[in-house]
Amino acid sequence: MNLIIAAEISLSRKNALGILDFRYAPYALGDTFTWLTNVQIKAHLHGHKPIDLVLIFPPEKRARGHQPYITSYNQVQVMEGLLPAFLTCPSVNSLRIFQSKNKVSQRILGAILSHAVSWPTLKSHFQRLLDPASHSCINAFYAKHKWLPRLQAPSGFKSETQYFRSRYVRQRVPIVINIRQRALTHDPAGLHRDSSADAWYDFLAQAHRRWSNAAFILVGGFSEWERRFAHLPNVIIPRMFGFGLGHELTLLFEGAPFFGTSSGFSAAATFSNTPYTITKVEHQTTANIGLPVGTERYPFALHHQWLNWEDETGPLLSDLFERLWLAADVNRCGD
Amino acid sequence: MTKATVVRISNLKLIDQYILSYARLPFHFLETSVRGYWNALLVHQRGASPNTLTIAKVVSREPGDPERFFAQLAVAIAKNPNCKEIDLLLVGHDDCPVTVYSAIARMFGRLLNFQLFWSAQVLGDVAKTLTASSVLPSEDIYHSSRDAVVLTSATVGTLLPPPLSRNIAREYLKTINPSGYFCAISLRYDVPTSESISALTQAAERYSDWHFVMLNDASYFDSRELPLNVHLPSRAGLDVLTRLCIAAEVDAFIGVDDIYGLTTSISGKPAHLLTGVGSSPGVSLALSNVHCSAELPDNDLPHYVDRALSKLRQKSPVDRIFA
Repeated sequence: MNLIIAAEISLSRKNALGILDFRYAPYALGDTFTWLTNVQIKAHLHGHKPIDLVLIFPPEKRARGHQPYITSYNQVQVMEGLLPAFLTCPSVNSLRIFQSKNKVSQRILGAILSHAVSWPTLKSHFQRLLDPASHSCINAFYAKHKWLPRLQAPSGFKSETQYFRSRYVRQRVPIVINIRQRALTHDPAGLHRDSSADAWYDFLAQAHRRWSNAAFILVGGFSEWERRFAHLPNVIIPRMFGFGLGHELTLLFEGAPFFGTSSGFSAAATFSNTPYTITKVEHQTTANIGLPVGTERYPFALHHQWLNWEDETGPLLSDLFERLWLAADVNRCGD
Repeated sequence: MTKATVVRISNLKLIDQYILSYARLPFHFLETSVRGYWNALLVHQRGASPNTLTIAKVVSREPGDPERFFAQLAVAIAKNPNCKEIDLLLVGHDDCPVTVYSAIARMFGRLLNFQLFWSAQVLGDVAKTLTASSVLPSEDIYHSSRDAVVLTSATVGTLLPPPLSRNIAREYLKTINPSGYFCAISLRYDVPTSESISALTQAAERYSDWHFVMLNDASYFDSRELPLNVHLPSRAGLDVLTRLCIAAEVDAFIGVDDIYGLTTSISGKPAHLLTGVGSSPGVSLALSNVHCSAELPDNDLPHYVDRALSKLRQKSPVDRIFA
C-alpha cells in the first residue's frame, strides 16, 4: 500500500468524518446547522472523536434539482457566504472544502479502508441519500442521553463583534431578529414560508415604546429587508455597516436572544443555548422534526426556547416577544 | 390537484430511496475508489499533486498578515502560471476571520481546496496525505509566513476574480456613474476620523469628476458626514470578496498598502500607496504603476491625498487623451 493511502487511513482512524457533498445536498444555512449537529452526535456516539468536516463542491456539477439557480457561475459566492456557519461546530480538527474530485476521493477512500465513522454513512453518501433537515437522529440521541451537543460562536469574529456591540448596541439589550423575505431576493424559493413584513414592522414600531431598552439586530441577507426597517430607531442592520454572517452568528451564539421566522438563523438558535422564539414554523416540517403541528418546543429545547406555528401579526409578535423578553431577562439576572 | 402533486412527489422520493439509490451505490463507490487511488498514486510517484500549488499558512493577529498572504499567493501564482488548483492549508486563529483569507485565495481563479486546521500538528498529519516530500514542521510553517515578499511586474495580471463578484463590482460602479472614473481609498486606522473626513472632503471637492470608493473597514464612519462622491461599498452589503473585485476594477488607488491596495497594484492600475504604517510589514512593491511613500509628508493626510490625486490625475487616461 502506498504511503499516501496509509497516511489517509491513519487520519481517518483518528477522526469522525462529516461529509457534505453539494452535488446532492442543498446549499442552505439551516440545513448546515442540522448537519453539523448530526455530525457531532455521530462523533459522540463513537468515543467523542474529533471531527473532520469535508465539504465537496466541484465546479462543473450543478446543485440538486431544487436549487437550479446555483451554478458554476455563482457557487463560489454561495460557498463563501455560508463559510462562517461551518465554523460553529466545536471539537473540529479540520474543515476541508474540496473543489477537486480526485483529492476528496482520496480522503473518502481512506475512510472506506479504515471503516471510519461518518455522517452521513459512507453507504448513504454513495447512494446520494441525505435528508439534511431531518431531526430523527437528534431526537433519538436526546431521548436516550437527555443531552445534546450544541453549536457555538464561529471562531474568528469575536473582537469585531465586540466592536459592533460597543459602537452600535451600546447599553441596550441586543435581540437578534430574522424576518424571512426571500421574495425580495434573486433566489425566491419557498415563498409560502416568508413572513409578513407589515406584521414585523408594526411589532418593531410598537416595541420601541414598550421595550425601549431593546436593540433589534436585523440579520440575514442584505436584500432581505425593506428600506423602512432601516429607518426604525430600535433596529440595527449589521450588514449596513460592513458586518456579515460570522458577526451575526457570534451575536446569536453568545446569548443575544433570537426572535424570528423559521429559516436558516432559527436553525442556528435551535442548536444553541440561546433563548429563542421561532415564528411561523412551517407545518410541512413536521415530518422532518418529528413533532405534530402546534408543539410548543423541540424535545431538546431549553426552558427559554419556544416554537410558534401561527401566521405572524403585530399583536401576536408582541405577545411572543413579551414572554421571550421576560425569560431572557430572568436568564440575564441568573447570570 | 395539490394532493395529487404531493402524492406524486412522495412516490418519486420512495422510488429514489429504494431503487435509484441502490443503482447509484456501486457506481459512486467505484468512482470514488478509482479516483482516490489514482490521486494517491500520482502523489506517491511525483511527490505532490500535479498542477497544484500548495500553500501552508498560520493565520496571525499581526497587522499585515492578510497582506503578506496575498503577496505570497500572487508571487507563487506568478511562478506557476499554469497551476490549476490551489491547496490552501491554513492554521486558524481564534480572533481572525478566515473568510478574509478564503476571499483572497478565490481572487486568483484557480480551483481552491480550502483546508482549515486548528493546530499545526493536525496540518502536519494532513500534509502527509497531500505530498510525499518532506512536510514543513510547525516551526517552519510559522517562520515561512514571516518571510519578506516582493511584488514585481511578474505578479501583474495574476488575478482572475470569480465571475459573479467581478460582475457585481463592475455593476456597483456603473450604478454610481456608468461613465465615471473611480479612485479606491483605504484610509489609515491611526488617523482621527475628523482628519480622514476632512481629507476626503477636500479631495472630493477638488476632484469632483472622480468618485471615491472607500474599501477598508469604514464602520466607524458616519456616512452622512461624507461628500456625495465618496462611496462605502461595505454599507451596500458587499463582502470582502466583492470589495476586492472593486479594487481590481477601479481606475486608481490611494491609501495604505492593504489587501485592496495590493489588488489594485497587481491589476496594473495606478496606485499611490502609503507603506510602513504598520499594515503590511514584509511586503514590498517593485511595480512601475505603483508609487510608494514610506512616510506621511508633514504628517498631513489631506495634503498627502491632494498630492497623490494630482499625480494620479496627470497619469489618468482621460488626461493623457485630452491633454
